[in-house]
Amino acid sequence: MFCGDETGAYVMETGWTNSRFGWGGAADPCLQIPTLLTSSNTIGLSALHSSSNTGGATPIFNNPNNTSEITNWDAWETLLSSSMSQTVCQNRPILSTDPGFSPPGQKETQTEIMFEKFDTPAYFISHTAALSAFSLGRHTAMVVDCGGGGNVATPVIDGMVLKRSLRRSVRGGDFLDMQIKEVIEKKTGKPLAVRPERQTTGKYKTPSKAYLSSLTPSQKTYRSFCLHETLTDFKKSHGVSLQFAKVDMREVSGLIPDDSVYELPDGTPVNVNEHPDLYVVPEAMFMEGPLTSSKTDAPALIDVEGNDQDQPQTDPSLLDVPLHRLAHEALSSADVDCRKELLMNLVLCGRGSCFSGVDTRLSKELTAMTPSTFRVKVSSGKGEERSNASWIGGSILTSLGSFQQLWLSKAEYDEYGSTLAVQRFP
Amino acid sequence: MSDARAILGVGVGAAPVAVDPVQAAMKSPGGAQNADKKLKPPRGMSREVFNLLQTQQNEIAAGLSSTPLNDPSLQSTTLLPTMVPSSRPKGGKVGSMSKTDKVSKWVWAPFSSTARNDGADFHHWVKAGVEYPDYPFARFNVHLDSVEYTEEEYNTYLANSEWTRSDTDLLMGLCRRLDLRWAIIHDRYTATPRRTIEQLQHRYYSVASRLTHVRLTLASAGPIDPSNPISTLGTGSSSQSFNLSYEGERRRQLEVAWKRSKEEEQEENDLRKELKLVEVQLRKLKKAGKGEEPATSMTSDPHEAANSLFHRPLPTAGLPYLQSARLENPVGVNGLSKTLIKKMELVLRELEIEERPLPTKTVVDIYDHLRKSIVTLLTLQKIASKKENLLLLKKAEITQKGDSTPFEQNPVIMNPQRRTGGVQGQGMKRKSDAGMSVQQQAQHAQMQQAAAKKLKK
Repeated sequence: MFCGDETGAYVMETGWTNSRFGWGGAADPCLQIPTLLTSSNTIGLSALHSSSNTGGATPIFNNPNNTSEITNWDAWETLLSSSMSQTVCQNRPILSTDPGFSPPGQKETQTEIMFEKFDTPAYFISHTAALSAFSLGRHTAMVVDCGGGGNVATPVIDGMVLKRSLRRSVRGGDFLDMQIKEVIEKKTGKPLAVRPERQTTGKYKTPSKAYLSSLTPSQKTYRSFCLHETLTDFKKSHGVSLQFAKVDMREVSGLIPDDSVYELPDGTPVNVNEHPDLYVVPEAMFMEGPLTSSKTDAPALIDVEGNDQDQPQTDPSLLDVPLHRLAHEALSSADVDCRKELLMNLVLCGRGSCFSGVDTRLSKELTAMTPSTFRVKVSSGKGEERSNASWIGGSILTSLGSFQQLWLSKAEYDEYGSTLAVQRFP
Repeated sequence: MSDARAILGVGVGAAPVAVDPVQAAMKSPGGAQNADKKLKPPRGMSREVFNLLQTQQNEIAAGLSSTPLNDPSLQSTTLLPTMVPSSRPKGGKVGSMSKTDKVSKWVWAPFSSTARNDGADFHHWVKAGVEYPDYPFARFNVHLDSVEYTEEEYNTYLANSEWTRSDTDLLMGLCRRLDLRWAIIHDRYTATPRRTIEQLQHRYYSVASRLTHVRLTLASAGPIDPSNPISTLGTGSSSQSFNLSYEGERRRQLEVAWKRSKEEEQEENDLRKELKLVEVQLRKLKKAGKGEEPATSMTSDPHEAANSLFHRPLPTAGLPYLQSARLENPVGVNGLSKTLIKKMELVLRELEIEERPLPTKTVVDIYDHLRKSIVTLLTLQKIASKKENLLLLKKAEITQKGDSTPFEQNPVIMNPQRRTGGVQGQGMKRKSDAGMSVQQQAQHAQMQQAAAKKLKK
């Protein structure tokens, strides 16, 4: 670490699905938990599934249209304080992240809470896209983040995000989960089984419709979290390789290995051979045409071209387009001179991109869409680094010597107040 | 690399470190000047790394690299020691430790940085006993010079109908904060009249250059006032003006190129290839013979071309002038092709003219005239046959497409009224004027008879 300085800052990232906490300078976060609180206001996977969690779970982000909007501030505070007590963080500078499309005023509130409730000596908010680019050693990159709440394509130039060129789509991990869930439920005829950790013996009790409709919101949240676990497990084992080209559904059955039978928590086998759709679930990320309808809450396709010419930009465009088109839209709205460099440094991150073949497919599709004078190069980390890319970038950032002058210190916050102080953040 | 150097104990103000084999190797008498002496790298360090350290040292000593990072005057603040241990036990590699080595002590020390203007305290892990006058990374806090103006300056010189004061101030603030990164400035510029990036650039550079110009003229006009020196003019205030229209056009073109689909690109490439082929053909035709016109050009006349070749050069004073020189057949790029010359010689033989007439002025004049006529005749014949072929091709095309209009089968040659273009028409007429060889006349007579028969049918 030649340019580094071990200051021991605390890096926290709260995402739609998972949150990561840890120390600056470390290679990975020491605490990775779902972004949920139990009914007794504790955090962590084991706490969520423990027998003492009777009431369910409380989400912190609850707006599918803007997955970075903190809807429950108390829950957010509790999440932070619990994580800091778990990791024994006291009196350290804190770095937190923001995707770039958070509603106005959110950063100010975060800063206020940090300085007043947690009494940090210094605070900084950085963009997740910029941090993901840093994790791969780049200061200028086109970052495509495939997360649970959706996919976001952000151009980063010189470590700063172009907020107006940011494009996001709803086709994230949760969207894919819904697709899988529908197919399985249609086939099995009953609600998708989840694994309640408490139940280890006895016959699995399929919940009745009456029971399901009687759940309280927090119980629903817990249930959807368990569903998410099951489906993530399915995706890991079977939500498989994207082919390099568009998949012809007639050929898919020839591609599925014979032994691909997934067993649900209640013992029901799901034979992927009977449902080729399940095999090519990640293909939904690359399919053309509006896919969302009344089934999900997300709005249908919104026309991008020129829609931000006259209207004041409060929300970046939310699109229902495939991944390569998302990146292309983001590039088309960026400055003409930067496009070549952005395409040469296309960074793929997020857990949704961990399906095999996403990077090759994205590269191929983008090459077909852009003129031949532009060379497309997709870079991404390996394994867990890809899902934790933004946290790792934060860790790198806080350990840089030249970053230490950028912190917003308590003295500056006291002097300027939160509104002016927030302008310090890029 | 310079922090490695600092650890190794070379350079000005190096941190005192425990005896280090690398340090010992580098600290030969007259450290930096030892470029000529062959210093051996210490064991465990590769030769290339050691050479790099040497080169950097020499550069700094010679004052070659003068960036802030390598500025000798700033070398007093060294970089922090790295996390990697640098001591070396006997017989081992650089960086490994043995049991008997002394463990260096690290402390959680507070520090402040001059790059921050609030004097806040931070803490970090550093080696005990090392003193730093200032935070070593503070020197990376480099910004571009900012352009600033006062109220009066703005009102007098910089007021603009399209730009309000607040918009201009916003732009200047953004430029200062973001160090003239235009893509980001354009992104963060939120004033209501939405401006393109080149408009922002134009405004900034015109303000900067106008300010410079004004301030310099004012300063040079009055007496030099030492108490009020010209403050830094700010980056971007050069004398070159920002070309708004050019930039706009350039960006538009780049956008067009960006939006072009792959099919259009393919089409353009195909057209380019075709163009190349056509150009090659044109060049070939031009080379093939002077006086022969390519199918597309209507301006050159075979007569004139032939004229220019056999033109009598004027005798120049002082140089010997021989008529026999004019007997030569002009060959080469500007002259006739070999085939044409051979054909010409054939015709001359047919007309039973001696190989080399006596080179007097009148004889050679007549000879020239004759050669001219022959060349013209041959050229015209060639053109005529080509046109005929073209006509046949077109006819075949049309009959293929199903046009039922019957065509006369007469060759073009015999039909001077045909609409084939001015020169061609003239050429045809001249052709009938010029003498044809006996064989050719017979051929044409036969064709005429055949055509007449067809018409009767």
